[in-house]
Amino acid sequence: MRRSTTRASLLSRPARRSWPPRWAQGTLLGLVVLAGLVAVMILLRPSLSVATAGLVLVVPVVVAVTTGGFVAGAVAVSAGFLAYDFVFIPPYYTLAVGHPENWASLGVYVVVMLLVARVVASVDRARAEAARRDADARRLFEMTEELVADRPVERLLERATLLVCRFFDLRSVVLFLPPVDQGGADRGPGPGDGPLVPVASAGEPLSPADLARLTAPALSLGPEGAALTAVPISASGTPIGLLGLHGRPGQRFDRELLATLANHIALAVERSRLRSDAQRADLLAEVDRVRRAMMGAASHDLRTPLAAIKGAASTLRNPEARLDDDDRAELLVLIDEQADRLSRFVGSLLDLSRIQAGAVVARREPTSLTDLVGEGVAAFVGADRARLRLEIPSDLPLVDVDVTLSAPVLYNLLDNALRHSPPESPVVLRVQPGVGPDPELVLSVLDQGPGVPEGERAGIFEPFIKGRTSAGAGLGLAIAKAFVEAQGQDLWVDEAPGGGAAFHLRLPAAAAVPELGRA
Amino acid sequence: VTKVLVVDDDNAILRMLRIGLRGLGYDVVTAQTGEEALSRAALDAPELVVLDLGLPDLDGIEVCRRIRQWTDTPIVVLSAEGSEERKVLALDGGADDYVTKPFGMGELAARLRLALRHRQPTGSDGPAILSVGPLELDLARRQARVRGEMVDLTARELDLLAYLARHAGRVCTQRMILADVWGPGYGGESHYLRVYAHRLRKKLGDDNGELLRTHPGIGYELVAGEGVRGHG
Repeated sequence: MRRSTTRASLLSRPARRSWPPRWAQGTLLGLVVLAGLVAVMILLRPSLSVATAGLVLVVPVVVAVTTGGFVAGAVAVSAGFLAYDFVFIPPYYTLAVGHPENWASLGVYVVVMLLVARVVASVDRARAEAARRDADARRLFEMTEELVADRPVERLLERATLLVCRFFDLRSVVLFLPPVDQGGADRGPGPGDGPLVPVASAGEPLSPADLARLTAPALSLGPEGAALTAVPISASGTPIGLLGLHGRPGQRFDRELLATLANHIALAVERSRLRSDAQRADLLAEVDRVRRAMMGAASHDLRTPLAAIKGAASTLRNPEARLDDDDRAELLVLIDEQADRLSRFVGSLLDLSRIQAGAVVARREPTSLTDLVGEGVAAFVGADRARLRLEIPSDLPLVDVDVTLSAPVLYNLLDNALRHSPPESPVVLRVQPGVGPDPELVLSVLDQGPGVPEGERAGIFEPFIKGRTSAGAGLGLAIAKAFVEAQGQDLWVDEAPGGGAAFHLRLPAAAAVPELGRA
Repeated sequence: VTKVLVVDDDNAILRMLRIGLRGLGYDVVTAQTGEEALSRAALDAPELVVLDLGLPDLDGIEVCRRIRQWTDTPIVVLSAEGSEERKVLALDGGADDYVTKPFGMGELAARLRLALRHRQPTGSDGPAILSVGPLELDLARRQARVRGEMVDLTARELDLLAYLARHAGRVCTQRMILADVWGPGYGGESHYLRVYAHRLRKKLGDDNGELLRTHPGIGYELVAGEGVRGHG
């Protein structure tokens, strides 16, 4: 009885205390019904048997028990007993019982009534218990729903503490977990390392002293400490945190339910931890993939010219090889060219590290486009040079560029075009006035290769990005883009008229030299 | 004159190989893409293919597999150091040998000669007696001799040695050896091979692995020295 009322007041959300109390209501109602029935039956008494009156008097007892519980029922039984004896058992209006048969009626009445009160009360109590369990289950379900929702772990934990707080009608709830590494370091917070810190709370804020008391190795109870409780939270068998509860004075907690809630919280914490581990693993795998790609590309670009040089030199040295003078001359040219190629690639690697170190500073000055193009194409010789078509009008203004940065840009664009288009197809370098509001020139490199699909146009300027299996530098375009950006210029790619790739570089015209100006 | 198909997407390497191999007496045809390589292999009927694994259109390993679908022409792949898995894939895909870039022309020439020799027709059972360097194997009587001395081998050791001897001068991948000597269904048990190679070296007096050479991460080779000869 007592246990049931305690739990009911604990678990029904804000416990609503009615006045007058339930047992008083039931008693009153029972007595009123009794009085009414007695009044009616007094009128009918001549035609009623003693037994019938006793039967009718069951009604107020049942009414009292169902509304007021067993206490009310007992009061109704006593009152009914008196009324029965006084009014319906002759001699009337005395407590004396005349006929011995009437003793039996009275005795049967009392026994039956007490049994009825008992049974009805227990049925009533079972129903209340079932209703309460039902409510618990529903709230537990709601809480579980909340905890499996896909939200950031901080929000999840805030929500969980709030739910616990409401569930048990507590003053405050604090969740303690080990501190999480903020830097996204590869080591997640393990069980039991470091002091616990409060990560979420609900209800009234707890004093620092109470917080300290909750996380102390042994929970020391303060003056009103009886209201403080710490519940360990464990996942996969290892403790991962603590749930600190501050209840109302005299409040008791349902340990089983608390443990269930704590388990749900632990699962939510563990799940979010696993998810962040998985994300970190994905990131590491991606970094690893990029690093491998870079290694592969750099290794290919270093090794290919080296292989050509080594092969050519070893052929020249091989006494078994029968070579004519032309062969020897070509092998020597090859060695020379490939040494340059190697040197340029090493230069590119150095450029890239300069860019990555943020050491690229542009020094722009008025430059003739002829000079710039001359620098850019100087490295191309032989068949490659023969493929270049320069379409540059003669009367162009000076451009405002840093030649040491822009010449490599031009070189890389041309080199890229030569390598990604059919052998012997021409590569066009065209310069045209820009269409923007400021005076500018647009320098375009057009090839007859397969072109760059729309979706890949942004990515093509990333370092070490190349066609699927295609060999060759993934560096040139990245360096070009970086050097262009260092000068505040613009480099982009679209489609050439024939379907190949068209790279465009926007160069600002230099401010007019004073003596030529109109002012 | 032996006709060689050289496949590489890099112009400089192609020029170098064309001159170098021509100087060694080969007739050289070239291809720069995988598709071109496949059609040249079909049209020019080369007796030997030198194939770079990094091609712009088709993976070199795929080219290898496709060529193998219709011809036995020896294939020697060119590949960079550090790409052991790719070499293994190429060898499993039907390549006969590999050369790591950068390479000297002498090394390539030696590999090409060996690859050509392996395609000399042999009977379906092969010769009954194989000799590789100091090693002589009598397969009919299941005996092995090193410099004339009998070596006591278990049945499995003899099978392994016989397999390597039949492919002397060629790199056999772990998968190829396991599948042949241990049987189909084997292929991943590289530790078996380490143990057996160790035992064989002990028994053959080849402590430095000069005869039974390990290609780390790839497989094993019985070094042919001055060639493998078959009798009777």
